Amino acid sequence: MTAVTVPILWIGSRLIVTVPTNPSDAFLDALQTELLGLMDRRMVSGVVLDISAVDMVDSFFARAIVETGDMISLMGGRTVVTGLQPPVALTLTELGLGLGNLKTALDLEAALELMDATEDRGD
Amino acid sequence: MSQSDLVPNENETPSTEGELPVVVVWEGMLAVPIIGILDSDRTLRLTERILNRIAEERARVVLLDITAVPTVDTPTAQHLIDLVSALRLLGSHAVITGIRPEVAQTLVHLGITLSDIRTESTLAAGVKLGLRELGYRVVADQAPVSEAPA
Repeated sequence: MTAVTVPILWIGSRLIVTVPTNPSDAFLDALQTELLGLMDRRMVSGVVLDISAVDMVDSFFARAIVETGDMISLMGGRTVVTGLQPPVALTLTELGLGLGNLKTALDLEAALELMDATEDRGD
Repeated sequence: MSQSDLVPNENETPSTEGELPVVVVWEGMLAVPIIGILDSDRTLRLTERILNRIAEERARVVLLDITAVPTVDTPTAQHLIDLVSALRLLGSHAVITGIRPEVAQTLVHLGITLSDIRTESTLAAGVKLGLRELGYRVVADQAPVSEAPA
């Protein structure tokens, strides 16, 4: 099995992660490990998960990102999901899967604004 | 000397456990580094002591650091939730700090998200949050060399 690379960009104290089309289970595991590791070692205030390249979702994917978001939240960070494609939103609803406690935003700008707003409120 | 004299009495608290310290990190902010296993007995004694210290110090923020708690399972999480609820009754703001990646993973897999409790990865992040709660703003005197501050 080849090592999985997780593309992570820093913007201030926040991270932007782009999820590839058809993310493998190994990628989702690596994503979680990598993000939690960074939360532990560096002062990360929040994570933006860009899933605009994802056009098909299953329950594993939905659960993986909801769980990762909850873990990041336990470690004091906020997670915002952005770039949700309309068919993906539809599939999630049809499967009866929400995104749990995760916040969503239309685009990257809205995601960062949402984080500014929650940080100002201090929660 | 009989054999029984050499065997520690099971009812006695082992001396290594000791009492957990409650330290003042700032005016109005307490930190409690929890070391070892958090059982119901220990939680009760700790809660009582923290409540007294809150009253003495007029503390508005209490940081409960669980870095040195080896495993955080469902009972431990419940003890922490009870502890936080007790502190809230006095009007104090509790923050659980020192949540390591594996602890975060365990808690989420157990279905515990502690969503109405403030949690942070490190004590440092907790202190920063606490200062903000107390109305302070942390500003660097000089621009940092490499990275912008959080």
